[in-house]
Formats: sequence, C-alpha cells, structure tokens
Amino acid sequence: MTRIYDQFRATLSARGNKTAVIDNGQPYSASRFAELVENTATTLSKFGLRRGDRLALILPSSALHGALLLAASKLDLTLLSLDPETPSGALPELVEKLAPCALVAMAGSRASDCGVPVLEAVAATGQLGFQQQLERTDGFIPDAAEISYILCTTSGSTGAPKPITLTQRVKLTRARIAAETYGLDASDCILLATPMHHTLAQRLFFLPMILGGCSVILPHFTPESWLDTIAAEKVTFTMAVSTQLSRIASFARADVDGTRDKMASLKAVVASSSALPDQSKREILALCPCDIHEMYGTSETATATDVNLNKDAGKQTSVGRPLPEVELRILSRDFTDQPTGEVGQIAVKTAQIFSGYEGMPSQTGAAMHGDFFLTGDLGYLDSDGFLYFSGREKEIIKTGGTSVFPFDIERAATLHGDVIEACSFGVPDNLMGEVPVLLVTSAAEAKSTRRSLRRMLLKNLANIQQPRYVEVVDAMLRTATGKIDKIGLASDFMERHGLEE
Amino acid sequence: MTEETPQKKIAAILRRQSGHDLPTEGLDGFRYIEAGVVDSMGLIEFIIELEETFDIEMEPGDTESDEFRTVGGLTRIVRSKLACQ
Repeated sequence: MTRIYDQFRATLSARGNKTAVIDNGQPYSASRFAELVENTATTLSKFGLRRGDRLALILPSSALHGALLLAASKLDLTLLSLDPETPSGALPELVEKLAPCALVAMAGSRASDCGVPVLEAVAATGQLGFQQQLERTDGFIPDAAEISYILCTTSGSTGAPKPITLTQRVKLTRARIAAETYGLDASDCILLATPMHHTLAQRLFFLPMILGGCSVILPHFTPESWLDTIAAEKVTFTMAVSTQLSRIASFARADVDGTRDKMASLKAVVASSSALPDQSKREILALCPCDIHEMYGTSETATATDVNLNKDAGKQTSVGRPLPEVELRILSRDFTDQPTGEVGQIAVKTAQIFSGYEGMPSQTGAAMHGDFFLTGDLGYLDSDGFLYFSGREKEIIKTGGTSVFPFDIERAATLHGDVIEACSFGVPDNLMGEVPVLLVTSAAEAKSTRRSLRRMLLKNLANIQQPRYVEVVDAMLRTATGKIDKIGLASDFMERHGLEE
Repeated sequence: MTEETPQKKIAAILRRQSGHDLPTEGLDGFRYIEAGVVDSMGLIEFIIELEETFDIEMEPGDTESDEFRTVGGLTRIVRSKLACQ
C-alpha cells in the first residue's frame, strides 16, 4: 500500500534545507519537520496505538496537526478529524458515536471529559505528551489491505454532518489530480487558511508534502492576515472558500493597488466550497495578478470540475468542465440523463470517491447510483460540457406549488452594487407553503440598500422568486470552513420572528 | 398628521395596484387579500410600496398576522410603526 508518509519521505533528499512548513509565521526546515513527524509517530507508538486504531484529533491548524497526519499515515491509524470549535457539551456524544480509542487535544482543553484517554498537545513546544499508556484489552490487528485513513465530517452547511471515510490511496489520488490540474510541483508554496479537520485543508497540506514544496499554515483567517501571509511567504497557490474571497474583495476596495502588490507571487487561486458571487468574482478577477479558478465538488468526491475564469471566456458563470478521471451526469428524478441545458441532479463518477459514510451503509448506498455519487446538488451542462450550478436540491423553496432556487435569488442580489454576500432560504407561509427570505450584507447604509435592492429584484426576478422578506445583516453566520451557514441563519431568522416549522 | 391619513394612503396604494375601486363603506374591515385586490404575486410590490410610502419596515410578524389582511388592521400596524419612530 502506498502511504502519504512514504511519499513525504521520498521528497526529503531533494528538499535539502528548504523550508517544508511555515506555521503561523514559524518556519520548519524539511529536516526539522521530518523530525517532528518521527517524534510524533514514536510518541503515538509508545502511547500504545497500533495499525487500524482510531485516533481523534481535536486540534486547530498547526505544524503539529500536519505532523500527526503524516505520523498516522506511517502507523496506518484511522484519524477522526473533529472540529476544534465543537461545543464541549456536544463532544462526548460525538466521541461515543465515532468510538476512538484515544484523542489528541490541546493541553488544558475540556477533551478529558470525554471518557477516552487523551494525548495532550502543548502549544508552546509543539510537542505531544501523555500521562498514561493506552490500556489495551485486545490483540486486534486488522488484516484489511486498505485501512480507512481519515474520517472527516461533511461541512454540515445544509444538513447534519456525516462522517466520510477516506483511504490514503484516495487522499493521494486527490492530491495528484489537484497537482496535475493546477500545474503544481516542488517549487510551490501552498497556503491553507481553512481548518485542518476539513478535507480541503488536508489536501492543501498533503500537496506540498508529496510534491516537495512548502506548506504555509494560517490558523486564523482574516483578509488582512491572508494577504500579509501571501506577501511574507511568497505563496504561489491556494484554494480558498468563496466567502473568504468575497471578504478579501470587500477588504481590498480601500487599497486595490496595495492589495495587488501583496499577491504578486500567486500563480493561481481556486475558489472552493460554494459559488463566488458575481460582484466578488469581478472584483477578484480585477484584483488578483494570477489565474482565478472556480470549481465544483463535494467532500465525498473532491474536485469534480474546474474553470479558469481568466482563460475560459464566456464561461464565467459556469463551474467548469470535468477534471481528468471524472465523469458527470445530470439526472432527472427517475435517474435518466437530462438533455443539455436542463436542470437535474449532478452525479459524479471519480477516482477520488470516498469509501462511504462511516457506520451508515444504507445512507452510503442511497448516495450512489451505480458508480456515480448523487451529490444532492442541482445543475445543468451546456453544449460545451461546462457545468452550471443551480443550488442544493434540499434547499429548493416550494412556494405556491413552484420550485424556486435560492441560488437564483442570491445571484440576482449580488448584482446590486452594495451587496457583499447574499443568502436565501424558504420559511413557512400560511398562503404559499413557503416564501423566500433574503439576507444580505452590505457595503452601504442598510436602509438604502434594502430599498434599492428590493426595487432591483422586482425588475430582475420573476414574481414567484421575489423574496417576501429582505434583511440587511451585519454579518453572515458561518460554518467552521467559512461557508455561509444557511441552516443556522434560517433557524435564527425563524426564532427572531416567531415563525414555526 | 391626522388619523385617517395612513388609511387614505393605504387605500390609494391598493387602488393604484389593483386598478379597482374599494368599497366606500366598511373599508376598515375590508379583507383586501381575500377580495383579490392584492394577489399573492402582487403582495411583494404592495409591501414595498407600503414601506417606501411610510418609511417603515414590515416584518414577518406583521405580514403573517390576521390584522395585516384588513385595511383597518394594516392601518393600525402602520400607525404603530410610525409611533415607534
């Protein structure tokens, strides 16, 4: 079996004294980081962990988090990557459900309340320690050729998070395809600015580890810290959540030239996780001195399509064409292929596919149609094979017997000059079943934005698409990866206005 | 501002939007949505007109209430919002 760890080790001789990891500004040479990986693996072994054991990580993004990923790869452990922002009250239930034999958490955290042995990460030293060895009651050593490497949870922006199983082989395939798609090699310095418990950040970490490049870890994203890090570390490539790019575009309005200068080292930036609003897209394209890509994918499939917005003229509202080793189908409700231009469910066949939802065989089966993963997303293909994203199937607003796509409302709203971000969802209505709500953040005064936006939407949307309620909010609620938390916003809206499901 | 003013303004918006006359008697209790003066499609434009005319913001609690469905009830909602400003 090919391990990520082996591929990392294979790059060491060529790396020499080059920097392998920069953690929040602190550089680790290749030899120093390799030593951290080996020490971490030794600590995990001494603690008593063996091949196939489940180890939960509840850690912020850091070099130690990266070292743990590689050490677990070496030892064939199964990692449960948990959101370090998980409320302490919810942690014991999550741990009980996923049943790790130990967990790694920051020293002084509440993780010790979970009832499983804890390895503590000491922030000051970047080292791992434990008080007592793991007490083993069995001699279980799995003989499966391929052990699950990572169980990570879906973002949960549109439903309850589900644990996704990924093998090292699939993680390597995802990294290889990303490297081929974006032309990455050992010379690249790759920034990760989303939490490392998420698959996107893990891919961004593994890429330079197996290519021989440098990983730049930014634990806390702000537009300013993102730009400063790119300038300081001469970052060449990154994938950012679309909402991060929208915030960067908004932040840069005050100093376009200065912002562009800070991004001079970038070769490409990929907008990920959700569609980039039109206005942000225009601003980012004008701002960045590099290629801007948009992609479509899911945690289960990784990137399925990609579009280079600088090169694919006339396709800027698309999310691109399928990557190599990816097939797309647009399916009707009875799983027949939709004609070109007709909206249906996006189904993906890919070499990057996950192994299943952990402990949820029926949900895994229901998510597949033959070799194709049923994304639950809606979209259509044009005659050139470019995919256009229409929204999540479960987010469709059923109003007066008609289906309204929130994405269309959000798109129309972001054409307003002052709207930064938009989020639309349905709320119950006595007369219509559901009615659309639109929440926006604005660069201008709320009242005037709301008035002019409503007037603009009256012209640009069909009657049935008109949001019944429009609110200008200070900020959008977000998931751990920075995506707009639509479920949270809808629930908050209904609570504030005394609406019931 | 007299007490009738909001009601007169609301009636004027309803007349303009629907192109129909409103009842001369019992306007207070007139259920303009059920009478089809404002249909579900025209409701958004009607709400926008109200908000702009009176410089107020209608919330779900207002438009979902039974009061909203009569001219008199709507007038009371508008007056209460104007009084809070």
